[in-house]
Amino acid sequence: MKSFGKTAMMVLITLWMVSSAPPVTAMDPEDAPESVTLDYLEELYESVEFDHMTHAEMFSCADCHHHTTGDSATDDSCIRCHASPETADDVSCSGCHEEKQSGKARTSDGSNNIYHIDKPSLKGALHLQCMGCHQAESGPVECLDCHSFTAAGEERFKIKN
Amino acid sequence: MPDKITRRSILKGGVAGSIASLLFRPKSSKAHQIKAYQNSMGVLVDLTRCVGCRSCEAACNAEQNMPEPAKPFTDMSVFDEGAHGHKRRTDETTLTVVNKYDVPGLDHPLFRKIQCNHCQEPACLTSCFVAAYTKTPEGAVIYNADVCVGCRTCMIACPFYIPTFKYSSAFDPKIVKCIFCYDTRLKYGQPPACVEACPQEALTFGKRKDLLKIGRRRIVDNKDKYEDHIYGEFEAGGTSWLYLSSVPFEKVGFDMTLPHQPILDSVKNFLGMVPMVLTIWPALFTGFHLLATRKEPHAKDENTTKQEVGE
Repeated sequence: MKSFGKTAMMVLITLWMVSSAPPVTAMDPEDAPESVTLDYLEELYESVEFDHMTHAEMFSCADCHHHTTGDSATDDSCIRCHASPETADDVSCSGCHEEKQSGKARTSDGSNNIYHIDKPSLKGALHLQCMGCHQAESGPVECLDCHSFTAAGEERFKIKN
Repeated sequence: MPDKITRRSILKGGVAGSIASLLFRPKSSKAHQIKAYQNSMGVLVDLTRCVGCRSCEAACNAEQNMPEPAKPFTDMSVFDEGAHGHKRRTDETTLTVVNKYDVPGLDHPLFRKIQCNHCQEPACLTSCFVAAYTKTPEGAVIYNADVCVGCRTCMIACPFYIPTFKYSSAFDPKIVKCIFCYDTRLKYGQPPACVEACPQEALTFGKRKDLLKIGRRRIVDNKDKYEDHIYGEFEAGGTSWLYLSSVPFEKVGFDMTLPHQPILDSVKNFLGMVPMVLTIWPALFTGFHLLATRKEPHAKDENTTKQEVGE
């Protein structure tokens, strides 16, 4: 019972902190991280160091992010519900895209079954976003252009050394 | 002596059977309803997303403990191996293969993964006379290799040319085909290995009825990107694996001539007659034979009598 009271207090404090936080304003590309380590899914491949700065200099934020900090979503499908900027505070890919594509998320059992029926997992979202642009802009598109195998990856793909 | 079987009774039975066979025809295929499992799972394959990385092939090989391939899965030269435009097929060492299609007018190739489509009403299952095949409520078409007698009828019955035969094994030959990772994954509600491995999420695992919704939404939301058709929704009576394409399906190797009825319906009328033919025809024709040869012994008797008289 004591621990419940403690937890409730923590939740209240957190809520107060969040609600009283200053409004988030649009972020400049310079403020964005220089590089992002993509290691959520490392198993067959080593983690990937994504050069965020180079990409941010070549393209505008919204080319890749569906929304930027402080701005509302641009995607027609998202904007129906997520029009207010507050919901757009999290611009990280993993903020919306779950790490694994689960069969459960795709069934009509979940509460978000009306709209979020076709949201790619993090792996799918990253690849679709990167590969789509790399194909169109003639960037590197081979698996090993971005990834390097782990020992498990070499075993999986039957690489003979 | 109990009831004596006379020529007359045999003939009567034969005639009655023939009339019965004419009156009680097997039910027409028009009345056929697909009693599919409502909550069965499936996979939606989006050909516009596949980049031909062969991760699915590698994952399948590992999951199903298949033999090591001649070339590593990173070797893309396999796409150009088939002579005269022949594409790779599933065989006893590979349950799934990816093929490359150069579509005229398109600046990039398209890739199509093939494996068992896990039909709603599988032709392999209905053609198997030892009932080795099972359609599970989860949607998988699995088979029991222990009862397989190696007749290979399912290979002929399958409209997608998927089941293959272990020709290399002289003493333990058996049918080999994709089982939707039933034993290791699907049974526990998990997606098959190929789906989990796909980096582009070209493969989406879910309930078949939800996948149809997702497919339709993609077609509607992305104007002019997709063909207005989900392959497998109706083909061969419906399949658990469904496909979206940006080009006409026949250009990426899909058979667009398949009927929308289960393959079983094409042969059901004939198959319904087989037991009847086997039971009635022997009696009928034995009767005809006896009738036709009825007088022969008497004729013989007469000749003998004449000879005797002559002497």
